[in-house]
Amino acid sequence: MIRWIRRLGALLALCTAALALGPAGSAAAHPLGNFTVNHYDGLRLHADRVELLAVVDHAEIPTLQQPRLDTDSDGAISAGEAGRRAGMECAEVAAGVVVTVDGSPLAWSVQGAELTLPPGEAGLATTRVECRLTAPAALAEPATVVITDGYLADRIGWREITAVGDGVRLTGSEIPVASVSQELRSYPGDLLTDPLDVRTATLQVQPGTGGGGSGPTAAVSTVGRWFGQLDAWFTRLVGQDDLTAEVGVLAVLLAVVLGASHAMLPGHGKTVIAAYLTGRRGTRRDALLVGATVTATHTASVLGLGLVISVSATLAPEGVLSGLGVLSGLLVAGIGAKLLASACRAWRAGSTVESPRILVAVGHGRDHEHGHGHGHGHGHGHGHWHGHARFGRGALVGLGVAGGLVPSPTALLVLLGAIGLGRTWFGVGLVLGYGLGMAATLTAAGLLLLGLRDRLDRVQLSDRLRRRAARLAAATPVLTALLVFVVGLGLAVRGLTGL
Amino acid sequence: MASTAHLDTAPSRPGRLLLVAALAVLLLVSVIAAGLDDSNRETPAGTPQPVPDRLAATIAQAQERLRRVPGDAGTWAALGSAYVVQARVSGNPAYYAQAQGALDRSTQLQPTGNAAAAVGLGALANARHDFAVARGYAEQALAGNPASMEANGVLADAATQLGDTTTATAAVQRMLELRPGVAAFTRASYELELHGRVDEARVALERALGAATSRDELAFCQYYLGELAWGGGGVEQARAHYERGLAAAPGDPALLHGRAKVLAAAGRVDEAITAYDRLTQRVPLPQYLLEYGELLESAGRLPDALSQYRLLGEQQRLHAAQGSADDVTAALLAADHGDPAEAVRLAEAEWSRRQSIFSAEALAWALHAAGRDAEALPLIEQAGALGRRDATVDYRRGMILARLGPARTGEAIAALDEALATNPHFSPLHASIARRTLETLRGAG
Repeated sequence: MIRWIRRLGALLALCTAALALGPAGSAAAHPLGNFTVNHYDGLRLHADRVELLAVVDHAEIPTLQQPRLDTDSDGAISAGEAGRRAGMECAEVAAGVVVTVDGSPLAWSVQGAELTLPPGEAGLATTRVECRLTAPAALAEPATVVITDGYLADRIGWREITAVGDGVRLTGSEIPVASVSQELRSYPGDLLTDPLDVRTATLQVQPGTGGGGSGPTAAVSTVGRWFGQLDAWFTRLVGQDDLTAEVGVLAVLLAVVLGASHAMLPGHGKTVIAAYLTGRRGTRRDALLVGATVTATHTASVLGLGLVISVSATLAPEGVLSGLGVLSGLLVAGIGAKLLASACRAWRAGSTVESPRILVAVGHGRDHEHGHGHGHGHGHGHGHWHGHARFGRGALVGLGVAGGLVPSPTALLVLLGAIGLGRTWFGVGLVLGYGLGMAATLTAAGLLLLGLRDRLDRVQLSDRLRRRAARLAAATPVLTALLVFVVGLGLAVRGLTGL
Repeated sequence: MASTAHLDTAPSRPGRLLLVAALAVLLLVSVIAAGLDDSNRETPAGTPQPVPDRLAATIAQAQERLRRVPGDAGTWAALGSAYVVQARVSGNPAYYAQAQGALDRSTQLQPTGNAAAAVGLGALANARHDFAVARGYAEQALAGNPASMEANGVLADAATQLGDTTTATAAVQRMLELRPGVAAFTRASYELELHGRVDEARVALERALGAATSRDELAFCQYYLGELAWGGGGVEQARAHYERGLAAAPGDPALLHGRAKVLAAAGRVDEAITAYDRLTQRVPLPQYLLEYGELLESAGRLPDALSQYRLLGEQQRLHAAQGSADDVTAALLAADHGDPAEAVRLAEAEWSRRQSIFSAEALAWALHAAGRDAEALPLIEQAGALGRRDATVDYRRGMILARLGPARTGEAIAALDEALATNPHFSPLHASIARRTLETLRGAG
């Protein structure tokens, strides 16, 4: 999940860095720019030969940069002048576009060469050259065909390759059958697609009929696909144009579920809270308190960071997240250190009064014999502990804060998405739901542990075991405090190294 | 009692142990999870290594996200801004049209308070040399968020070109305070250079280089370090910077231009001509075409030079038809290789739009070409008023003074000497004119 926020961070950081670089050069208003040289190679594979329609489209400036077409300077371009230039250029294309069949290059012969001057901007002409090339090739047997267009390779422009089989079958080809630019006549203006720059293609030829190739494929990043799907599901829900009440409720419920599952992942001091509740003899109220604190902190933290990010695009959330991670870790470690100190004090005090403890513990058994309630006995058994344990409520809140301080990337993303769509309040609701989900998991885990502990306490002990158990019980707070401290340090270090 | 107790305790011991074991497992899991997360972190986010194609990756991510969430105005704005940079880095102007489309989409989705789109549109306007419009967008973005790094960047670039140095300096200062990185240091360096504080400019660029994390940033910093060295006549240092930049970004047009300039300065004229030819075939920017023509002219290939000047003229006409006029280059071309009256007309049009040191210099040179040197002198002095050390400005001042009679000959000689001392290779054509003029002036004096 952290990946997505990193991506978001990288995106924001990049557009900052990028914009920062400032202007150079001037932007032209022509669809592909008036100095591009654009290439299209349409392959047609037959059992006995390969045909290639190669189209080269020179925009206005390259047209001006070429040697003059009007060689006899009579003010008009004759068919002969155009034909000679087309022949020259097609000979160069034939040399520049290399097609190999199983590694051996084909020898092109030029069947047709045509030059036209479609009008461009400002009364200037562009140049369109169409070359029909053919070469014999043995494609009746399975073969590998590779095309590489090296003609005017350093020019900037659109580069497109298509391939069809005529009497042969093309398999495993990533190259489309049809030209998306209608052979350089109309360049698609899809804002989400980079200008095409395909210079080479590999085709597997099989005997038989049936065209090959595939539709135009978009380059899709493989990073974080699993998360992308979950995110897509959720964000699509949030981004729907017609957001009905049902969908809204569903989205909030989904947010609760996502929050609950997020809290199940390790880290963020959740283990610490559970361990603390166990070691410090927490009550059900304590468990609920932790849950409430986590929800409040997490919601405030996501809203705060979301607000800052949406107001200032210069902020990289990564840094803030790392900072919060360190803060959360230090908070936990600090609480751990404090607990450790008090636990050690209590333990030392405990060793000196070992005999009374045993007596009390024995009394515990007797109470049970007389049908007294367990809770009471438990109270006695650890009576001198409770006096110290009560200070722990502040520490509990602290742990809850630490647990909710680092915003979940999903929640942040959903909030930013909702703000972007002008549905800020809906986003706030989702974040609240997310925090509630997290809190539910943490509280449930705490209650589960309390229940487990109570069940253990209900079990009767032999005197010998009871003595050992009492020593163990006396040591438990020290161990858990140590655990809290170590995990806190671990969280802080992780936050630091992540910077 | 004992027997019951004994029986009942049987599960308790493993129970307690279970609890301790569970705690140990929890601890272990957290530690392992932390470790796993750490190892994950090192691979994608290791900062010191230059990232080769972060821009392309960002664009792909934004595109992918917008296919899923087409209504996300913020990502449309980010994509548009990334396209503006891609147009510059790749030299492919098709990305400018993409940028315009993406930024328009963002504005449609969120017409008010869309600072990110305003910043992108401002950067695009700067790229199109439409500096007044760029400034408007920057101010619009800054009204919403005065601490925006990118908006201050757009404002600094536009204000510098518009001749408003106070605003430019303030914007750069804010950038340095907000985040002292590549963006702030490179701009600060340019500000310092324009004020003649070359050493400080170099320090700023070296700090920018230190802060650069991607290949395009490295190339960008090396290019400006090269330009700074070139401006001071340090041909060998400039060459080293350009080559280092090209090692990071092999096809970068600006760095290839640097390489071609260095070849010409080193006297390797044929190689320089080949380099300029390939560069202008690929990216025929007006400045490159003009320099190429002058290189050809200085090498005695006047017909070839004239065809470059003609091409440049057609290109100016094309740009004017598209509404993006670069009158400074057009005026300089007309002044040196065409019609002086036309040069004055173009330069005056530019001067009426923005009174920057660049338009002052162009107008002065056009007036000089038209024989109006007395009017040219205050303008060329204004062009150098900030204190920048620029061989071309000194050369032009010297040439203007040389025409103002014997009383100014001493000053003319000083200015031309200064030009050649600053950068003896400032132009293959004009450096030799400067030397010839100096001989004549000294001969007369």
